[in-house]
Amino acid sequence: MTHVDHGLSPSTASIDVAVRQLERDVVLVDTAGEIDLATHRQLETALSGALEPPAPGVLIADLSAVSFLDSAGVNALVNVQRRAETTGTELRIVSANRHVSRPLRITGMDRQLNLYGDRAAARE
Amino acid sequence: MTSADRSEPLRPFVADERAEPEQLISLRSRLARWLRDSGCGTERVETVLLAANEAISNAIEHAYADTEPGPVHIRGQVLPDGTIRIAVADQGSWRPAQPGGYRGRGILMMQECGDTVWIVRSSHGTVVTLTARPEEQPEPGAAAAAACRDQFQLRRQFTDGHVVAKVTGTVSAGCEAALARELLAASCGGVAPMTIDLTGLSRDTEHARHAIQQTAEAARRVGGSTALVVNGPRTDAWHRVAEVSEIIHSP
Repeated sequence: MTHVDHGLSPSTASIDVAVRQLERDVVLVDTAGEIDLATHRQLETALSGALEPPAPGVLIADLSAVSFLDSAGVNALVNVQRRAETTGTELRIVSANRHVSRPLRITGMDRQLNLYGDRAAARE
Repeated sequence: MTSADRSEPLRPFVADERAEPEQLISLRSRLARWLRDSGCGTERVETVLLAANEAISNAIEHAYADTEPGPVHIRGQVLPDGTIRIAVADQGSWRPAQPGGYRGRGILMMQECGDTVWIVRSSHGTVVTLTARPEEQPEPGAAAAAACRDQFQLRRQFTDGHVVAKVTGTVSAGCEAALARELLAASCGGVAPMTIDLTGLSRDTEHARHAIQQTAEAARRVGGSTALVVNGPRTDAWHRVAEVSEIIHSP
């Protein structure tokens, strides 16, 4: 797949991503905003960064505050899931809101990713 | 768009932008406002936006892959019967997705979120046209989908960009939609050529035929094609489907 760097215009599109170590073996990535062609790499970079050695046993991607998710964003999650399998990390996605659950269901990825209704459930 | 648009809800949506990812967020918010003004409810606005966003993203990401970004033209219209029609045109060229890629997921997203999707390519560029009724569309229930998976199974294989889907079991009236959805997903929203093997289906194929008819028509609209392998000699049962799909009668 060819990616063109459209670096000419100033980018205003961005998402908020916060990475926190919750426990020794659990990392939480909190994301807010609209995940699309302009911002999906930001999400993928943050989640992939959390898989750098020493990779945690559990990586929680909390998408509760995400208000839009397109196919590029779904693809980013699938890429991270693949990488997590190689580091022995369990990727858990908090996807309670319909902006996130709908695209995952439509693309059939709800059956391939570990989805949780809220953060507490993902931490158990 | 100017504020005048809000007092004239039936005015068409018009946007001409450079095909750049940074344009998406503002295009979505302008489109959302137009969709609300055109009579769409909250969830319908969201699903139509998902579909339109994928169409615009395709133009941004693929139409000008080897050149400077060119223009993307978006036109929204409310037809006399209330149907929303959105056309996204670029002046570049992009080919249909390969199975398994995420562009396939994008086309699937358009298919599932709109009512019909048309993709027309020419030497002048590509036009994607989506239509959607403004009413809220019921979300397919997860429980119903699970129940259908107990009735029929779909296995798919990729061979050189071609999908072979084998359907076994029984398709009841309540599972027509589920089969149509799974077939569309298997063919990346209809763009990947697909052979559907129905030789493992139970004898009564009426509901499977309805689902396949829908899928074959949707595939045709985006430039895809389907072929069916069915049991037994040529019969009238497959007559209607034969208008949109090749049918191979297995002895």
